[in-house]
Amino acid sequence: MATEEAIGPDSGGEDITRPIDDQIGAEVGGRDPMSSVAIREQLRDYIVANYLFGSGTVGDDVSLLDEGVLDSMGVLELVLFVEETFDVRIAEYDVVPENFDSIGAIASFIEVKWNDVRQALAS
Amino acid sequence: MDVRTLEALGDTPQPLQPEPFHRGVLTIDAAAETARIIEYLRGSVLQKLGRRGAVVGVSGGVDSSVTLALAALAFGPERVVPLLLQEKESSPDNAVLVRELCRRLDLEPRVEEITGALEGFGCYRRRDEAIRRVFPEFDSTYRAKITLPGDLLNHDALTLFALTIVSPEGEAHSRRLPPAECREIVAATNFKQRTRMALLYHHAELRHYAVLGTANRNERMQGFFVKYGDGAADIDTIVHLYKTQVYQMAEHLGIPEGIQRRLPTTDTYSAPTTEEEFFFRMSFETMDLLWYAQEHGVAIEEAAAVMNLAPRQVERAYREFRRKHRATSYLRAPILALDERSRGRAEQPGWSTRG
Repeated sequence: MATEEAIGPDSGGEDITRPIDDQIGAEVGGRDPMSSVAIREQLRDYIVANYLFGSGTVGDDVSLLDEGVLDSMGVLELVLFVEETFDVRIAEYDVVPENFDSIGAIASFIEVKWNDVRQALAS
Repeated sequence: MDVRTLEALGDTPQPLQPEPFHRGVLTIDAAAETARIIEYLRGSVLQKLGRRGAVVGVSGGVDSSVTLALAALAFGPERVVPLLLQEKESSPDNAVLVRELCRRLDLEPRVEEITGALEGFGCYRRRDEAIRRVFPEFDSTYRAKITLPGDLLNHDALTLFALTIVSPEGEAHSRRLPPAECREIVAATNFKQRTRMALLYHHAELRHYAVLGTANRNERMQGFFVKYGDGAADIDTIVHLYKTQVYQMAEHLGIPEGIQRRLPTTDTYSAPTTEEEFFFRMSFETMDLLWYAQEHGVAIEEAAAVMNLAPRQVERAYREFRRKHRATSYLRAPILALDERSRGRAEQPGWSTRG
């Protein structure tokens, strides 16, 4: 029987006594909790730097897959970048076009994941 | 040699004539197709390339077996060399099936052991070091393979490589592959195909023969080959045939049943890996028809009705095919040159083509 394990930042041992938004903010580089716009800009910077030779830009709704920006190795790299930069754990079933096909989709996915953490910590 | 270069030479077997889409659209007249390929091989190898026979790398799979049988018919057994390239992780079934095939074709297989060459390249060491970064417990008693999410038709999962190791007790563990380790495992493993290629050309040069490629249409168009590895050959013998058509040819050519029934595998990783779980993510029967439908502009609704699938499933397959074809275009690209005219000079009159 195969076991499936997502590889991601170790979330064990985190300090749950801090305010929730502080925790999330600290986990993305010690800054204040990121706005949706800031998330998108950070994603855009990464994609332009790594897949477009540092030139041009990508709109929020451009399909990264259909436009050939990402190939299968690019998907692996982007998933790892999102995990490490935004401190979200990503399971295999999360890696679907609905979540990863555009900058807007990825940003929404990250915000949903953060909301899940907030709700879990608040309950 | 890539597809475009071959097409420039002319007379490449073209896909069979399109007709209205139906479930039997890929059924071929295998006898007529055999005659067509034999004529093509003779014209290409003997006349265009000026070689005297053919070398075929054989694995005991259906593609290389069909290619070998066609070569034997085209040139006669005395002008064909079947080459079995074994290494320590090859399935023992390969040799058994190749010998049975060669007996039937009146051929004598040549066997080359490439484990030493692969150890020299660091193939196993580089790969295993990368695997251990993901699974520290991995050692020589384990087996490993790379897989993709299955069931493409019913799930929107993106291409996300996973590494699976199998313990000596048979327990399997899978984890998503980090990009660096994924690249290292693939690059190390590709030594296998490129070492095989080097030996195929060695044996071809010994005899002034050509190397016959064994890729089918699915493999070439979706990029399921190693550039300058199993993708390297002088002639792409069956690259115009879909996998299910290769099986029809196998039946017509009398390929041993053990080979026809064998589940297609990559024969690349130490743990058994089918081509479906490693790459294609659906059955060949379904994939061939959907690929044909997309190539021929069959509307999603029409393809779905013929194949008894939901339009959403067909749309998902079409999208995956387009992405995979584009993502692997690098593999099929010719060597680029700033001045393309300089590429063709060796083929113009007055220029020697001898190396």
